[in-house]
Amino acid sequence: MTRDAPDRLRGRRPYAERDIGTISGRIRRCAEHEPVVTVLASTWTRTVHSEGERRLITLDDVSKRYPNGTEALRDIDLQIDAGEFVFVVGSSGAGKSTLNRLLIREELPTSGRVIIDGEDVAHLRRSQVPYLRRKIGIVFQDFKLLPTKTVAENVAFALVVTGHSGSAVKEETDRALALVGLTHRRDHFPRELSGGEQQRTAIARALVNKPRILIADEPTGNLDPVTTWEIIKLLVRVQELGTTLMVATHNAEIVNALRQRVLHLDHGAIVRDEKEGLYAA
Amino acid sequence: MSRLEYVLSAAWQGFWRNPVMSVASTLTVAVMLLLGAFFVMTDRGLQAAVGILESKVELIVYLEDDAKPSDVLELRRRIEADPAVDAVVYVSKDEALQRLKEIAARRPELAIETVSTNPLPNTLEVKLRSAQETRRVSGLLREEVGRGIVYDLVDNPTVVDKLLTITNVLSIGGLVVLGMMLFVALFVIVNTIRIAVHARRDEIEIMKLVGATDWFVRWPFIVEGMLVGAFGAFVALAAIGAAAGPVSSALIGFLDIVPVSLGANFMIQLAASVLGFALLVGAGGAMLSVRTHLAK
Repeated sequence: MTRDAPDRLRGRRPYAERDIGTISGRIRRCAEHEPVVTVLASTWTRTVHSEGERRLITLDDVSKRYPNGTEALRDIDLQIDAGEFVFVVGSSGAGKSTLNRLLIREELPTSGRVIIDGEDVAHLRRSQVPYLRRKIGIVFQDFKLLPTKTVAENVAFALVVTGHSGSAVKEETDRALALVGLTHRRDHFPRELSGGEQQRTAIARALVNKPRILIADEPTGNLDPVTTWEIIKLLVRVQELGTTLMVATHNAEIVNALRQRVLHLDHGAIVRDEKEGLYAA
Repeated sequence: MSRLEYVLSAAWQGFWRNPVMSVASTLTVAVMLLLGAFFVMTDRGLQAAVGILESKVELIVYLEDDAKPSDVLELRRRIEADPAVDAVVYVSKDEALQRLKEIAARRPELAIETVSTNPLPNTLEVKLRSAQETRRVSGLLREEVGRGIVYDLVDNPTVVDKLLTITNVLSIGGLVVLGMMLFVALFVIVNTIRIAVHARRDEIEIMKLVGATDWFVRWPFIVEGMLVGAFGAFVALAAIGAAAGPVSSALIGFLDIVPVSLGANFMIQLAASVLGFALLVGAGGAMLSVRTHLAK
């Protein structure tokens, strides 16, 4: 259970210089208020060493057909490198959620291969799936916080149930809360928080196990425009610190402002894959 | 909070989150264990009683007054040759009368009228090694009746026979009832845990998303099942402890001559088995429930 804990908890390998600030700069031009993220924790960053490690997600001719006959994904070929920021756009039912479910191996592809960090997820034994999931953080539109636990307990929960204990839990929880700027809210319950604060708690929980990938499934779907920008800035910060981001969204304004890679799904197929893309072609 | 603390506190919370259901399954387990313990103890007591009675089993062969001594000796040799027979003792009519007088002397309510002739027959007392053989040996001896040597046969194994029957019926009936109770207990535990799983489905969903292992998800429920079993065992053992004294003295009184004492060793073994069995049933029920409701 705690097999790989020490390495994970000791913090990241030293990190290489990245072009930090580029996206943040774009955000500042787009949103009129100050960035909420002020913490830079060097331990959250990571180095990309080689070409082999750079390729984090590969989908090789992947199709997914559900038992009821719905063809959710068709012939998907996709490569995502470590450190990328990818928007996934497309109307409801285009296959975005199925894509997420394939990545965390909640579903297996009907055909083709899904390779995460060098491992074909179809070859994982059932007992290995939890260790794949620890490489992937995920946040949702509806936050999925536990209402009976405080902010700090919600975040610590992800550590405890993955086998961590002792002072490491508090340290890592504090660090994650500092990253999302919620240290002052640590002992509040989710119902006492604004929507944005709840989503930041969910992000802290997703990040506390230091995943290599953060998947955000319509993270701002329930939030007002101002709060939406807070969350997007936080996600950008997370990406700048070295985590690969996949953000499914319907928010055209955000996609157009950030000019990141855009993956457009339609009826289960990738119809557009652009670097520095826009929401609509 | 360590892993162990998490498992224990989640199990404890789970148990008290739905107290009515938890107490109901605890009591079901307790009743099952009580029944089981009752059967084991009764069986043990009856077997002890049978053992004691068996050592006293004997057949009495009444001999014709005019039987020839050589024929009697021949009969005695034949009886002794049977492997089920422990010993054969010849009691003459004088000896029998003498015994009767001695008994009468000790019990003032009996008086022996003076009679001119001794009405008692000469007898052979046949001691048997085990009660199971009584029926066969007495059957063989009954064939002798009316052939000039034996005029009657008294076999007194009916008590033993009945005890053996009771023991058999109890063991079989006990097993059947115990099996049904086991089924009911498992059913109730499975449902209790199913409700606990349902109450914590959000937590389970998040545990799986952040990469908790299957066993980490399962443990709290298995511990909760064992908690149900352990509480049930304590209730059952408390009831046994409270009732053991009065019941056993009542039994001794009822069975009269049979001194039923099960012994401290046996009781400790029984308590340990009850607790172990309860934990097993609790954990097993939880496993069954978790298997069907946490799959995927």
